[in-house]
Amino acid sequence: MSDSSTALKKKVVGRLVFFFFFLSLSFRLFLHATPSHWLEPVLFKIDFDFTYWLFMLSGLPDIIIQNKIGSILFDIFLLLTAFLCIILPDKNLICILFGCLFFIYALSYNTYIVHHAHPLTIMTLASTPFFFRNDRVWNFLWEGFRYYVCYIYTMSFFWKSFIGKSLLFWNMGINSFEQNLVEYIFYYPDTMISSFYKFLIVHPFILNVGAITIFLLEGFMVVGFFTKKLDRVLFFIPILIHVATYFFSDVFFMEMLVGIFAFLSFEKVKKIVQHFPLIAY
Amino acid sequence: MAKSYFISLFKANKTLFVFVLLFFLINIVANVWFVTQITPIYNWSLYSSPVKSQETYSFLKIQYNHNKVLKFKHTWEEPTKLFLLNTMNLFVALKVEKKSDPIKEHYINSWLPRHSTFHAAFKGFKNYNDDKEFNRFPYWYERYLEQVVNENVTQIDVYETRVGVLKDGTVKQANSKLIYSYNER
Repeated sequence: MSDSSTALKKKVVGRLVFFFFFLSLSFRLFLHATPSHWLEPVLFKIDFDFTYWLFMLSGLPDIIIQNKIGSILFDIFLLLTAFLCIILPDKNLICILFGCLFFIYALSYNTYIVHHAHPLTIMTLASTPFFFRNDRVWNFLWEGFRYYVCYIYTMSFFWKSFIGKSLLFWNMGINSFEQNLVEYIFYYPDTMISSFYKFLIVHPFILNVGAITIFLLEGFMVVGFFTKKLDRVLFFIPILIHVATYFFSDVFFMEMLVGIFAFLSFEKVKKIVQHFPLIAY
Repeated sequence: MAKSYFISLFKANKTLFVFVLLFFLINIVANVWFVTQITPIYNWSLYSSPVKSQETYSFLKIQYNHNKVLKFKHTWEEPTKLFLLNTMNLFVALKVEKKSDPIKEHYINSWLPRHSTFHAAFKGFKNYNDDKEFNRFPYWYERYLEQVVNENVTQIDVYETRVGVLKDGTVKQANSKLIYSYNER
C-alpha cells in the first residue's frame, strides 16, 4: 500500500473509530455512566490488578471522581477530545490525550461498578495506533490490532474448548440462558420477547445449538491469522456474536465492536469514500 | 500471513517489533499457562466453564419508596444496571451477610507481610472495602438511584428473591426475603 493510500486509510478508519468512541461515550453520558453522574461513589474494586493500584495511588480518583468539578471537567474533556479526534484523526497529540483520558475512564468505570469488564479497555487499544504520527507505524499497529481482535475470539474459543471445556457441555445454551434471563422474564412476563424466551426454554435444543454455533464462530476468527481474504466475513462475525449474546445472554458487549473496523480493507475504505466523500476531507 | 507481518515489522521497526511481539506473547502465556490478568492483559474465559442447571435462581430485588421495583427492561441499560446491582450485591454480601472477602484476607494476611516496604511507603492504601466505605454506601446509593429513576427516594428495601422456571417457560417466584432496609432520616 502506497504512503498516500495508508494516509487515506488512517484518516477514514480513524474517523470511523473515533465516531464509534464518541457515540459510546454520549450513550454512557445519557445513562449516568460517566464520572460527572457518579456522585462520588464509595465502593470500589481493584483486587490484585496492579494497573488499578497505580491508578488509585496516582491520586487521580480524588481529582476526577471524588470531586464534583473535577468530574464535570473530565467528562467535558473526554467528549471534546473524542470529537476532536473525529475531525483530526491524524493529529497524534489529540489522539494521545483522548486515549489517556479514555483509559482513565475505563479504569474508573470498572473500579466503581466493582467489576473488571474487558470491553472498555479493549477500546483503548483501538486508539493506540493513532498515537503515532508516522503512517507506516500506524499501519503496522493497526494490523497488529487486527491480529489482536482475531486473538481475542480465538482465545475465547480456546478457553471453551480446552480449559473450561464448556464447548463439550450440551446444555450450556439453555443453562446460561436461564441463569441470565430469568430475572427479565420474571419482571416482564408479557412482552413479546418474553414469549419468545419462554418458547426457547420449552425448546432448549435451539439454545444449545445456538451456543455451540457462537462458540464455533469465535473459533473461526483464527483464519484471520492466515489470510485477509476472508476479512469481509470476519467483519460480520463479531457483530453476530455480540448481537446474539445481547439477546440470549443479556450482556452488552457492543463496544467490543470497535474491533470490526480492523477488518476494513483499503478497497472497502475507497468505497466508503466514494459514498461519503466528506469522510476523507 | 501473521508470520509475514512480524517479518515486515522486524525489518521496518525493531523496537515496535519487540513491543508487539512481547504484548502477544504475554497475552498468550497469561491465558494458557498462568491464567492471570493484569490490565491490559486479560483472560478470555467468560462462559468457558459449564453452567450447571439449577432448580431455582436467586437475585436481589430492589424496591424503593415502598412499592416501586428497580427494573431494567433493556440490555443496553447495562452501564447503569451494573452501577446499581453490582455495588448492591457487593454490599449485601460483605456488609449485610458478613461473608468473608478473599481479596481482603489475602492482602492483609499474605501479601502485606511479604511486601513490608510497600506497606511502609503507602500506609493509607488498601485494595478492599471496609466499614469506612460500607457505612457511606446506602446514602450514595440512594442519591444515585434518585438520579436514575428521576424522583426523590426516601426508602429502599432489598429482597433476596428466588424464582423457578416452570415447564412452559414461565418464571414463578419461590420466595422473597427482606435482607436490608434503608430509610432516609
